Amino acid sequence: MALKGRRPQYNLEHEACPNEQCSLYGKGGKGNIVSNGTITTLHGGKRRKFLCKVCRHSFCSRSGTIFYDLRTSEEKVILALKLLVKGMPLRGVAEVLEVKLDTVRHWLRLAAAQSKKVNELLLKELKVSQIEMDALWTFVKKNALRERATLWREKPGSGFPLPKNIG
Amino acid sequence: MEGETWIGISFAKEYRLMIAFMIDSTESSLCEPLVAETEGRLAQGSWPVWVSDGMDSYGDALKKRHCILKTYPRTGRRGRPRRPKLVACPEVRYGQVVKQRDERHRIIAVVKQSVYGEVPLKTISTVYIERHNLTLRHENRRLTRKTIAFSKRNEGLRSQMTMYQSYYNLVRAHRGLKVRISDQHNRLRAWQYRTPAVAAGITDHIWSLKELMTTKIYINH
Repeated sequence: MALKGRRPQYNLEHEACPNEQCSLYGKGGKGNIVSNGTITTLHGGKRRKFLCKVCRHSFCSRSGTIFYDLRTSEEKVILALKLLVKGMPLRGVAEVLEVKLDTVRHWLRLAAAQSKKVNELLLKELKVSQIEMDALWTFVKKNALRERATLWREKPGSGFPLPKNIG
Repeated sequence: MEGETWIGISFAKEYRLMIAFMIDSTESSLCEPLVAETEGRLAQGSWPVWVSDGMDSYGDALKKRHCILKTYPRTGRRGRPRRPKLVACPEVRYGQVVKQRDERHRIIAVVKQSVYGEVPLKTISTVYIERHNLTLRHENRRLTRKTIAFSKRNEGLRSQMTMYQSYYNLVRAHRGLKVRISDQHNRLRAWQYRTPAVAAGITDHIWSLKELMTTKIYINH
């Protein structure tokens, strides 16, 4: 049967096995990665799937990036991170993009984990002649009122937790 | 860890590169891990000049990591011989910029001093990191003073700082690092903007935030 149109070409040289147990973990261009179809996302987008011939581990094109297992579009996540590094607070970003605060917090956590890996990889063997050191003062504190409310609820006779028949 | 928090930063002056940061409850307690992490990212056998403000803990941390036992020869006279003591290695070079203030906390003088090794007083300055602190406070709402956007949890602050570090080094072009480039007629016309990572030779191009977030990293632990 003749093929309909030209088959899409994809450079598999850039892909490497993400399975840490595999002998070819992280080694690209070894010929162990083959295409293994596509998956359709909730929003109709398509993601490529790959297979490592050595360990039979299957993974998709988003594995190893912050977008893996995220339902939100890439543009929205990147915009949220851009706003965060340009001086907007978490709550502000959540309000502007109409997402939950915890969602933005989750994206920040993913971005920080990725950044940590990049820093580990790139910031080494530096040749510098002078290093300046200094410290910034800042403040970390929880909402005192919320803490007080939690303490109050834990007190005996406070009426919390509410009986099950209420509401 | 809640309440007052200090973020220690080490900064390569020539490339405007943010090498490492450390978060702790006091400034004195973060000096040692900050120096250790910074040294872990330097090339083997490199001995840069370290400069800080008047906080002696930075110098103590350096001395603790690179010290030798200095013994004194016997004088032949009566009495207890002088005790050996730990001194900084001769390769360690460390200078301080000490701000002297009056009773109203106004700066009356700035004194530069070489603490360990021979450091030319001309090279001792903390200007670049002080300016970097301003950039940090400007671009991270958590660090902006006199607002209610301060961090509520330590993890959030750490995440923001980690992301900002890589963003600052790889993505954000630094105006102080731009270089003149010539056109076809060999006339200096345009400016080429660079990031600290490009200036330091870590990468060859300015990264995009998407590139930073989608680069697949494989680290063998």
